[in-house]
Amino acid sequence: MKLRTDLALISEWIAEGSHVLDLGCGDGTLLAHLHNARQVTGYGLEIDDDNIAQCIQAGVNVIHTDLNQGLSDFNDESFDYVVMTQALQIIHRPDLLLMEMLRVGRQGIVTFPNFGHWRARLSLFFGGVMPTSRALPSEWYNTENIHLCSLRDFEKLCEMLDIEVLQRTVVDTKHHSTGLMRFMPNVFGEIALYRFRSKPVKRIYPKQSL
Amino acid sequence: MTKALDYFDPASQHDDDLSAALVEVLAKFLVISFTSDWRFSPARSRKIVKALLDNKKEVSYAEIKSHDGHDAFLMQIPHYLQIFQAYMQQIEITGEES
Repeated sequence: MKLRTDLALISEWIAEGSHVLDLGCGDGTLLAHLHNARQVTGYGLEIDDDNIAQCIQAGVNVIHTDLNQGLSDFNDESFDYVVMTQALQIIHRPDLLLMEMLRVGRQGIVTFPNFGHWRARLSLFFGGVMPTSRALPSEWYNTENIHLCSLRDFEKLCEMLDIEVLQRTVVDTKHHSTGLMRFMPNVFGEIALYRFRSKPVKRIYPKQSL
Repeated sequence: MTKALDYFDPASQHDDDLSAALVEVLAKFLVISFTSDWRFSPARSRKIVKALLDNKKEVSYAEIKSHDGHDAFLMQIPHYLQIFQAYMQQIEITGEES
């Protein structure tokens, strides 16, 4: 089976043999692929019963978890990467979860639909209605998305949370990337992929020994 | 039997630290809890899961929605059966390979 292209892009960002936590891991496709192709170990977190059964069927370690409750079962820096694909926008507090991701992992990887895409802008500006598109198929009243953002919004939040972006890619819903998207990602990118980490702490005073 | 179960404390010889008690385990784990179980609540199962996660052991955890109190584990709850079946099938497959 061919891997979804955004998952293929993410797996290229993940070093061989690393320990990965996948938030909202779905049926476990990404972790199963990373395990087979790159000897990656780790866990998926899921809340949906059917998805949990499918993960177990695929031999993926999965832990029933409500991501809105945070990641308190995991110790600081216990993972090389914490991944979250297409779930940032359905979380109650994405800012708090991003901090949690970088507490338990050395690096974070997220993907989300770009609300700054030109179709979304046109739809609101000329149509006066909430945008729907290939990346945002649901209507405003039945969508799970409660915290949509654009690339610029996400990067502003990163700045505020002292998060350093290491890598960024934008693709369309077929997960292709074009020159136009690279030129103006916040206008032409439909789905954004980011890899990031905490900024190294700048110490003003020398560290005190206790 | 009930008394023996009640007094069994795997952490007692490890300063009451369950994570320390599970350092040596080699097995893979599937922990299943039931929301209606007042005797062994999901919160307590999560403690076992946490101790295994602390040691980076192979573990899966499922919390089954149930209405049958502590006896839920005897009931034919579709997701419970589905998850249990999926896990047992995995064991068979790995057994054949090795």
